[in-house]
Amino acid sequence: MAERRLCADEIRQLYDQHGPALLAYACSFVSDVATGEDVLHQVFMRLLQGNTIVPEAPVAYLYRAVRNAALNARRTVKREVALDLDAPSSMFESRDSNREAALTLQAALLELPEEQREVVVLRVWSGMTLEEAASLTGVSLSTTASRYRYALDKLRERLRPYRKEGSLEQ
Amino acid sequence: MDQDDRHFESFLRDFQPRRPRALPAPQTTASTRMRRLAAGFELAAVFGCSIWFLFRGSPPNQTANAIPTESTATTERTGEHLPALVPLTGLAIQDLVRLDAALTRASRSVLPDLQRKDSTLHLLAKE
Repeated sequence: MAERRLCADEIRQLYDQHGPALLAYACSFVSDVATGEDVLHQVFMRLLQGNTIVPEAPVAYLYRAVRNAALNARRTVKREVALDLDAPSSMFESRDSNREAALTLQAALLELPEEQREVVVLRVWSGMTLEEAASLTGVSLSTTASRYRYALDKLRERLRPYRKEGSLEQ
Repeated sequence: MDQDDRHFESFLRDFQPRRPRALPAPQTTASTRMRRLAAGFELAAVFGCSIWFLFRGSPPNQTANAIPTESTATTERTGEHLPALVPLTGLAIQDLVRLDAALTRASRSVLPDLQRKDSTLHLLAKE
């Protein structure tokens, strides 16, 4: 597979385009948005320094790099302080009308087992197919599909009140 | 995936993940700054030396007309009025005849004069 170095403009373009989804993905491991942003910056700054050669299609590489960096960061954070699962939500942009729903979604995601949370983020906010998510996480397609199904069921249950109100379904 | 799942996915996608803060500008490390500083000094030194060589020997147009004495010959030998290397190099590349003339002119002030009666070498030759 062809590999190359990305120029600074390409890197910043990737950051603008995939930054929010990558941040959500990082947050599925570290649960703290500030740490998630640090992870993201760490990955992109390494690219900007020009020492990293990436595949011709770099998006999958970015997800793998963020995953590894987030897992490393989590190990460090765990050594320093206990993970704060009740940290205030800012993972989703929210308007006044859906702030409560966004907070509930964040809390529901944090309650999911990590492997379920990961596949939900990849499928919903990164727009990956289940096959792509399976390939990225290194598990079989059937396992990925069942994780996704379990996760959707739990989220649906938690978010039922907000769906009934229909405030987000315009 | 049934219809309800698709609706629910669409409902979830209505929540936009927040944008991460902007990437910081890449910082220059201390070693990079030192390398740049050293390169700057080096350039300044090369430029300074070139200028010094260029202007060091140019005034002696007068030396061609001046009567060389033993004492001037001595001082010339110490390098005070040696012809500038940069212009001579330029002449060597462009015009050999002018280079020859410049070297002859310079030799009058740089080398000892054997023909003057009071020159040391003339006296020594007599003895």
